[in-house]
Amino acid sequence: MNEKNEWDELVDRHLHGELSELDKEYLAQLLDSDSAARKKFVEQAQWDTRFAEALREGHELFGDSSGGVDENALFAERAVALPERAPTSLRGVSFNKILLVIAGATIIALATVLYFERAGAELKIAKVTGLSGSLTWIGDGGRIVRDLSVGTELSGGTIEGMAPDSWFELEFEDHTTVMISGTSVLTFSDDGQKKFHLKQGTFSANVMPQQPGKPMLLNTRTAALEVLGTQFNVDAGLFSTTLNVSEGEVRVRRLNDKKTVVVGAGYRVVAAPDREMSLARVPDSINGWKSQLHLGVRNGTLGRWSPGTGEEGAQLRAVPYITPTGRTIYTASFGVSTGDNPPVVLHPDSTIQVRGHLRSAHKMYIGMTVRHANGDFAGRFQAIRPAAEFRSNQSFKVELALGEFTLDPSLDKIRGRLPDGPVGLIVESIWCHTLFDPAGLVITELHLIAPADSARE
Amino acid sequence: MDNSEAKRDRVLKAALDCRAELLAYARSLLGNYTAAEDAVQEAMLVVVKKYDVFQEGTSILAWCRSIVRIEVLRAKHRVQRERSLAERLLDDAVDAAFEEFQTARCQDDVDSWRQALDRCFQRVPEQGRGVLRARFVDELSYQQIGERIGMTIEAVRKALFRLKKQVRSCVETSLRATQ
Repeated sequence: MNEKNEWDELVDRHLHGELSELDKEYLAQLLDSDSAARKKFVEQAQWDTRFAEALREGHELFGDSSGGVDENALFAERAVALPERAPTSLRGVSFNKILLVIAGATIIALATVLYFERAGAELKIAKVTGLSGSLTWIGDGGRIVRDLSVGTELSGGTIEGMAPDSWFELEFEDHTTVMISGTSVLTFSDDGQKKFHLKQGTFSANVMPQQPGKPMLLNTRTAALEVLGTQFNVDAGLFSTTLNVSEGEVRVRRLNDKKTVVVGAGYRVVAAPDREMSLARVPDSINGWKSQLHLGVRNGTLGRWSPGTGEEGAQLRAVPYITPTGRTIYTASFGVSTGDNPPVVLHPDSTIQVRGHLRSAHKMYIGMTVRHANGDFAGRFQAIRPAAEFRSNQSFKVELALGEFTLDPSLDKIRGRLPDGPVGLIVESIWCHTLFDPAGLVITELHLIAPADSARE
Repeated sequence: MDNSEAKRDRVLKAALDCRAELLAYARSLLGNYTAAEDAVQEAMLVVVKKYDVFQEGTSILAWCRSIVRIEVLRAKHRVQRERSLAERLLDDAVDAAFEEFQTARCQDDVDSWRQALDRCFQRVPEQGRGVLRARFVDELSYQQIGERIGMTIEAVRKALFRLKKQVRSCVETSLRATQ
């Protein structure tokens, strides 16, 4: 069959809803990439539809209305093959046809009952293999579950990290693992093809080879990703999506203009409507980082930000969130290695300096969430400063060496799979919080000081 | 007739004149003629309710298309909870193509096109008409058509391509001759 025939058949099959997923993708590519194909497609679709309309309306065109094909037999075939395609009008149809329609409707009703019975059984598709912090899972039918634990089997649904220290890992039957951390919102399903929608936040995955024609799909507000088998992490904000690929390849499609790029290992791409979508090598890591609140806040930041006014500099005020046990934590959190910023890696001699203000002297927790280079969660490490070190209504400056940070006790259950300390790992976020009482915590500057920085200072 | 009623009549007439174009658009998104008809019908009801929102002087076709698109998405949602990635991509590409290239035809063109089609269709052999009708009216697959009238799938495919080409070139030649 020549090219013209192939095109004709592709459009014909599309107009009859007969394209496979691969064919759909192929046609979408053709239309996206070729203006002449778009024009031809519209012309053909219009011609074809007018032709169908004329044949349907003008039975006089046929003379003999059957045209050599038994009408009732064809109707029966259609009723069996396409049960959802009910005719819009029964005017002029025979009694046999009505019976067929009733039979079709009965089949559909039975199928619907069976479907909902099956849905009610909630087919489990994945198992929780790690979690910490405040999380909410919303299952099919809007069922809300807050008491998730390792080993819980889940059907499709939405998992939401409620706090900066939230972390959740899910393993599918084929051993593909996905993870979210911080205040991320992820919807997932697996009906033979894994599909995710990352509304916001940080997502990473270790994807086993997927079935041919059924790649893992991840949608964000700004991009659509297609994954066959790889390691990658994604940071999705309101206006952009950043993808870093550690192994394999991921195909990214920007939603506003459908531009597509394939991102290989060691590369990253930022998909945002207002910037060039080009591949770049994952930037070399750096060791130092400063909050620079006067410039605003970046993805992954949690707190109430206010710009500098008069003598007061810009600041991030702690905001409350309620833990699953009903207690309140007041937290201010900074996204560090987020978006298209270079990864910030902890040097053994790095220190963390926090400047801020407390309305009432209070014990303060300073911590960081870290990840491995491939995006895998590597734990949360924290240090505690007693209330005695602070004065009410006074500014403070705290300096901490990395050796003072220990694993967050809530991760004890998975201690064996986490590193002993944060050195050498990528800092995803740094957070400060007070527990249970509103101590009026305000952070004015957070500085991760690398040895070279401290030598300069 | 007050201004509002006059505007309603103008908008409705203009929208109905675009019906064939809207049907082609809806069918390109739904892959089913009957479902497309339903979506266009629903869209026309919206046009009746919302005619006063339409800004005269702008494209009625583009306005109606945006209404049809919403009805198409509703129809898709009724039969499948979530569209696949490929389907979303294709829907967006189809939408962009129609936005770029679809124009409405005037009524005179439609009438002469129908007359030409009537003439050309009479020239198609009886079995060919059966194949076309099975595909376009009964929406049967190549395999179902083949089983019904004793042809291989490949023969059905070739016949459909040849018959459509024959009718289309006959109509176009006929229209050129009358111009």
